[in-house]
Amino acid sequence: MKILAFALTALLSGSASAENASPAQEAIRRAEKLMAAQPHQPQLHLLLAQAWVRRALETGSPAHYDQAEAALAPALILSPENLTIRKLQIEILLGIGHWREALEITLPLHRKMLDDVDLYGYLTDAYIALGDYGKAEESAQWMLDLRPANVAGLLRAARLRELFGDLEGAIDFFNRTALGVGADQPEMRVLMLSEIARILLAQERTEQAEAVLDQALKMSPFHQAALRQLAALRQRQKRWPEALAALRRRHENGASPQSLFELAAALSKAGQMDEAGRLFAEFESAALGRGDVPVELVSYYADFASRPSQALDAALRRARERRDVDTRRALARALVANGRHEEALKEIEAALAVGIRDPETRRLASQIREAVAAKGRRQEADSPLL
Amino acid sequence: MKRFSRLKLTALLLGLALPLCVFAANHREAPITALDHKADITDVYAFVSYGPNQAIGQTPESITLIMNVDPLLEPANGPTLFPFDPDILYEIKVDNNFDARPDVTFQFRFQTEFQLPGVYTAVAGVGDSGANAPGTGNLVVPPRIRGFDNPGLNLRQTYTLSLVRDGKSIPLALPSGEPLFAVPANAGGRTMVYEDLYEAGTYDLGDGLSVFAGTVDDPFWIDLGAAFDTANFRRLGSGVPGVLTAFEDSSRENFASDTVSGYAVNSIAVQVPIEMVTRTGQVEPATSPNATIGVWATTSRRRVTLRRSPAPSFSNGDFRQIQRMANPLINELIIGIGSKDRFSMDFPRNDAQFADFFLDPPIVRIVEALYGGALAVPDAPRLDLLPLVTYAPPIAAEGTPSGPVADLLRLNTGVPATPPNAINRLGLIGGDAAGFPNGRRLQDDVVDIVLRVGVGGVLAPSFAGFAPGINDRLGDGVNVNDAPYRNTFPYLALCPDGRNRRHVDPGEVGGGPVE
Repeated sequence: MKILAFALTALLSGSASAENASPAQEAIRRAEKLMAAQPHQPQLHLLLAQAWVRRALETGSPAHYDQAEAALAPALILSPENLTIRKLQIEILLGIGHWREALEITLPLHRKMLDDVDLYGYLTDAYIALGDYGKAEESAQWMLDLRPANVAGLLRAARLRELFGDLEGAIDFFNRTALGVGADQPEMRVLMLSEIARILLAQERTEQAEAVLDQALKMSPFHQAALRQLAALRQRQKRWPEALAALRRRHENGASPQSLFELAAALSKAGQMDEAGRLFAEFESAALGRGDVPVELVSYYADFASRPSQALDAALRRARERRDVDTRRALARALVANGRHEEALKEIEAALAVGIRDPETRRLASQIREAVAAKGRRQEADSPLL
Repeated sequence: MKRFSRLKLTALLLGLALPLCVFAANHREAPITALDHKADITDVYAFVSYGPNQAIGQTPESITLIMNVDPLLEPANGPTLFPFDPDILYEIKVDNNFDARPDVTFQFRFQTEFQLPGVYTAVAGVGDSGANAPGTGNLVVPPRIRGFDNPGLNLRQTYTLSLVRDGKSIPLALPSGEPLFAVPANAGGRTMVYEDLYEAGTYDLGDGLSVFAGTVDDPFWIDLGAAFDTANFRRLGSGVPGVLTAFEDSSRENFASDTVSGYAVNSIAVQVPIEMVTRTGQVEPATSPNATIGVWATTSRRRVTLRRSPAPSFSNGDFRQIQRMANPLINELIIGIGSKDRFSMDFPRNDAQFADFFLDPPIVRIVEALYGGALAVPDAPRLDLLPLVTYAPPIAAEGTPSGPVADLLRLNTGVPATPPNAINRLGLIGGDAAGFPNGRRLQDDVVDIVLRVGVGGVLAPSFAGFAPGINDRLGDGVNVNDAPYRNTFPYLALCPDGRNRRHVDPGEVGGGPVE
């Protein structure tokens, strides 16, 4: 271990960076070099896997989580009881949307180590994704109770505050997380700033959102979350070429079904239908290849492809696994596309009951209520009794 | 389980004996309180009150509840001494209907003021008249501190006491309305007459209620250094580390060094009429289920809340428990280190989640391994330990509802107090019905009791391998506190003199051997 530590120190302190390499890419390069010298060290496999997870946070690309998973596999075989390795395994599962599998691994570990704040964090993430907000809140509150200023707890609490409708409170905690994250994790800091920008945009505080995004992009010009919000801001400002440029840059840096969809959708709104069509097709293929049905697939079928029955099919498949707010909203959208407004109303009201206040959900709810009311009025008008 | 044999005794002379971390009080036992000293509860005591002329079998009238916090205070330290934390809510809780939820709670909050904010130290004093500046004759150093109104008591704390019952909070105060002052640490004889402050800080609130808060001698005793050197206890008369001779066991002196000697602790004590805490509102006989109560203490700070409270503070809500303590062994010896903070912060009624630890304490396995199997230990599940975590005989009367598995200090308020000169340090297992684990008195040698109960299995029906003279003679060689307790409320010994305090070390007079 002493030799290993020495080698690590030497490599980390000295080597020159490749031009334009991100911090995570640098970390990958260093880890690969170390592993080449000592391929059977579980700690080095862990190091490489950790670097790939950081890259995945930078890019949002599932492919990078796949790389992390592959890098971690030998470490799991060599040292299956190592807690740090198991934790990274859980992080990867959460990253690729295998929520229940992540829970299955986390819960027994949690029962053995009730003080471990990271494990509470994984539980919170899984419960949020599955829509079990009561358990998510309980886990997140334990994180804050055990370690009041801990960054992992503040982050989960921020997400929950937003879900429960406390947007100012969410901004506060995202900010505290950004301030609390170490300088060695710039990608996390940028992610937090991007989340703040996203909420500000939703509140139509575009100037403040731009200022925050400015900071974020200075720290990392290629971070997927910052580019995504920049594109959203530019679209709001009807500055389409800049919006498209941001989305292209994001997609080139790390392709994901989400990045494909958002670029295609923006192209479509900008009237560039040929390219949009090509990218939509690519997106559909990529989305169908993943286990967790992305909400964007439902949106594609319902809003762009005019394939309502496929939209509903995709939404129902997702809803079999998860009942979170995003799923309910997607299902409501699909139900509307199929003319099933009353059922759509139940789903959207269940989403609103959690506390969520984002404009997209409220707009959809308003449309559905109006559609249901209109249907009611028509039925009254058509009633033979009148 | 193997019988103890002479051959193995020889082997043990070279080996070591006692379990890891055998210190039954809770001095820095959990990671969260290792970082938050002020919230660290070191000991909780609950016993039927007694007086210097206590008669045998005298009907109980009141009980004394004590919680100590902030461990291992060095009396010579300065300049701020050891104030209680004004941000902490200190509580002593009582369950009287067997559901492990508080029915009666005593709450303490402290406030700090500086009488001479320009002066560098918390206390200053000299002589009967103080000291004046040469030339001007202006008073520079106040007189020796004998009362709380002396400005030399620069850092001065007051506190409030409230009784919470049936959802209502009732302030308990002096009939005169004067404030309650906390007694500071004993800086030394030039600065103060500590004993006068101790007396002045012992308050009679009327209606059988008394209260005290302040820095006192730490009433706990143990060879802590040996305990933390992977149970490297001293080799005493028996030649076997961790096993006392009959003479040592019955003696009221120490054969090993009391590491806590000469240290202080912050203490909160309250004496209350028994009818204030029982379910029936009456003094109950020992044979009545209603006589037994469960006691525990907590420290809490304002929490960072996920859901924001409507209060002005942006993210802080109600108080959140940082630590709790009842029995002097659970978090210390029984709960795994990966769960100690959760245990500290959770509530006794949820202790079923720790049942695996209670019924098969890993420390017993460790001891068995250390002795190479030569010391017999009972098999799991350790049902003999249930009276420590449920309402059951021999503490509670027959027929008492057991309640949930919960770490509470269970006190049968119907058992008369033992006269002070007849107290047996081994408490219940020594034939003294008023002693631990029936509540806990200052004089109870909880280290030796816990070793014999938890490891030696003395409460278990005779199990194969139990060796009289071994299993029932486990101990660290420290039998008494270094400072004498008092025989009246609050019973706590005076804080050591900071200028002249002495820590009794191994190899010194009264400190036992080094090896």
